[in-house]
Amino acid sequence: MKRLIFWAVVIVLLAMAPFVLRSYNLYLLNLAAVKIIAAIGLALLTGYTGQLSIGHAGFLAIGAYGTALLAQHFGLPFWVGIPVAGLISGLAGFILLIPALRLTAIYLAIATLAFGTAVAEALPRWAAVTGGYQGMRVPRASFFGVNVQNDVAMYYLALAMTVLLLLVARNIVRSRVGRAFVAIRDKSMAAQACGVSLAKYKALAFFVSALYAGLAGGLYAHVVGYISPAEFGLAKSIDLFIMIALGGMASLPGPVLGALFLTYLPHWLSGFRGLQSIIYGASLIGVVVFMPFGIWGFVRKWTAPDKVQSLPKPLRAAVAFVRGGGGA
Amino acid sequence: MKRFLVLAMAAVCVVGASWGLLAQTPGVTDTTIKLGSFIVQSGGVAFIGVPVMRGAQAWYSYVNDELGGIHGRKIEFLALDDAFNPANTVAVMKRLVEQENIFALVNPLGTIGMAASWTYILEHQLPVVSPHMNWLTLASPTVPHVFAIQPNNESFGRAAAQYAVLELGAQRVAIAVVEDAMGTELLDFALDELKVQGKQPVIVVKYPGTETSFSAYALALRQARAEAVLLFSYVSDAAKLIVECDLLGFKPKFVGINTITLQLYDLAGEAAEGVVFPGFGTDPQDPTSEAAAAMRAVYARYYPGELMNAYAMIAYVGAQMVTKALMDAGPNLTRQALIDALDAFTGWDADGMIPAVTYRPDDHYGIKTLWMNRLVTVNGVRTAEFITEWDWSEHR
Repeated sequence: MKRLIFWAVVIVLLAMAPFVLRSYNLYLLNLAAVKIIAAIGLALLTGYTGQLSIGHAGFLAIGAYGTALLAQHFGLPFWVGIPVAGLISGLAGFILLIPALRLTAIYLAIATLAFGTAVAEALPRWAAVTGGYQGMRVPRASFFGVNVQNDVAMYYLALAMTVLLLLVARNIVRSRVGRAFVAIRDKSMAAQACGVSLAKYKALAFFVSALYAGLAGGLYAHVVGYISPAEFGLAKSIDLFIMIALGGMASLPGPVLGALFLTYLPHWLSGFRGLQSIIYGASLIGVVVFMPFGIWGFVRKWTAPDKVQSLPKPLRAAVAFVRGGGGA
Repeated sequence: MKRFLVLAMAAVCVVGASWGLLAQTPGVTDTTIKLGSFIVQSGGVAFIGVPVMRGAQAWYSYVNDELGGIHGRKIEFLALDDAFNPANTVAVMKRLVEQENIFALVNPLGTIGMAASWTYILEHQLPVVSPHMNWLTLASPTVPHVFAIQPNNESFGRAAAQYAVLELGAQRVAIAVVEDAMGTELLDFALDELKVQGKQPVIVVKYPGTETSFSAYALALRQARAEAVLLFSYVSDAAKLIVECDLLGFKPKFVGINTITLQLYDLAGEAAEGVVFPGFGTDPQDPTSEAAAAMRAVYARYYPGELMNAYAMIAYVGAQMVTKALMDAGPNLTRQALIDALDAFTGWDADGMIPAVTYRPDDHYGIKTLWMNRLVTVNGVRTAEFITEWDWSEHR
């Protein structure tokens, strides 16, 4: 009950953010939400199921372009366009299932890389539809005739999607499906021997992961209002992978922390002319060296029972809440 | 006494009104003018962004240090790194407008960033001066508060096609084009212009921006028996293609775009001889130009030991245009005063560093006339020889 109240307070505080934050801060939070959703999807696939993917920007692109094109050509509102584009992306996830059933580790990573590259290359060549290299402007979002293409409305949409998808992910990892994912990651042959169908659960992992990335892409299209193929290249896939590696792969708070870190750090550093890349790189190296299990791993280590006992009582209570938030 | 009171009240009203006027102008105080920009400083495009930032910063610093600012106000030039990522550009723009409260956007770099933040700029009616991009939308249709300076891709694409057909007399024109936003826009205009001139390209060779080997493309151009090749490429790619053609013994006439500079000689050697390219600025290293020498001296003061290249030059000139407009706008600076000052620009050429710029309320194109140059060796010195001025709209 106490925890429920705690999270209710957190949600209320987040819901009040538009009353105190400027459009710029809301926009950054919206971008962070996009990355959180995509990173959670990747964590389910890579962190929990052990299927390495470095082509996830392809799904992000399918979601973004799908949402924009559904709005442009079929007049679908954003609240229909985003889920439909997410589903299309999820179905495209099955494409990766074919190599995933035969390949593992680095070989699967190469196959996913090929998928991501193929999508990034196909988009500009389909110029008549996608606007080519110049990109395309995303039609303004409206809700029953009311224009909601603004940072406040997008913030509430992003917040709702993030909370909902976090809860869904939490339920997945705590269910039989989640345990099957972990079993496949830890020892696929043993999992099979225990009756876990590799094909079925890998297919599910790819579908869910691609669905999350597609939904994130759809949200991204409306948050930024403009999409171009250059945004969905290899660098974006690597970024997503870094997010979950930095935050902590096999956890749900990890991708959230990694996404927040990689959203805000470049903006904090944007005024450091010429030093941005150096500070950015050094920060990443620092995190990897001093937090080998990611930021969430670091937090968990320092909130271990023996360490927590020495904390003041209010902090101990706070740690108890946070630690209960998830983790494999 | 009564008269004194009336006068005093009138004075208070005037001062109050003036203060109110100033207070309403974003980014302007009694002592400063805050100008904002997005210029990539990291990643693959930083080789353009760093000199652009330095060129602009050098001039603004010089104005502050030597000229005491503009009408007593020092310039605060806040250039943020958007990493050439449109989502970041939008964030940077919101920060500049909402948190930093800038007066105007000056010297921004990159078409996709501008395209992503275009709606936001229009909604906020933010003055944009000296944008460093070839994006046609900046000037067509005219936006009252946006002032392009560089020629756009329509100018470059059409001029290259016209020059190959009308000046070089080529009957068989080929096009080699990089597959990106710049290349596709140039290609569209060149194809249209060739059609206007009654020609079709004998071949269009498209290559990805990541390409490293150009032998196959050179072979395709030779097999098409092209007499002239329009090079819509970055300088390093252009050098590789020209060298490959040379190795095949295939020597068509090459007509490039503004990405071609004297650097092509360093990269392609003798094979670069005779390449024609349009420019819109004097080479900052030109030993015969006094304006270029003055520019180099200012640049060296703030960036000692750094070679000033063409990117730094156009940013420097762009910054000069900004400060001239601010000066012309007068001490009671408002955004409308800046726009009015720019709309009155007539034949401004930065002491001969660029072709003359004239703005009118319905014409914010900036530079329209291109300077066609040819790479030649004169007395053992490799140089870019000026051939002629070229305005595509006059060759229809």
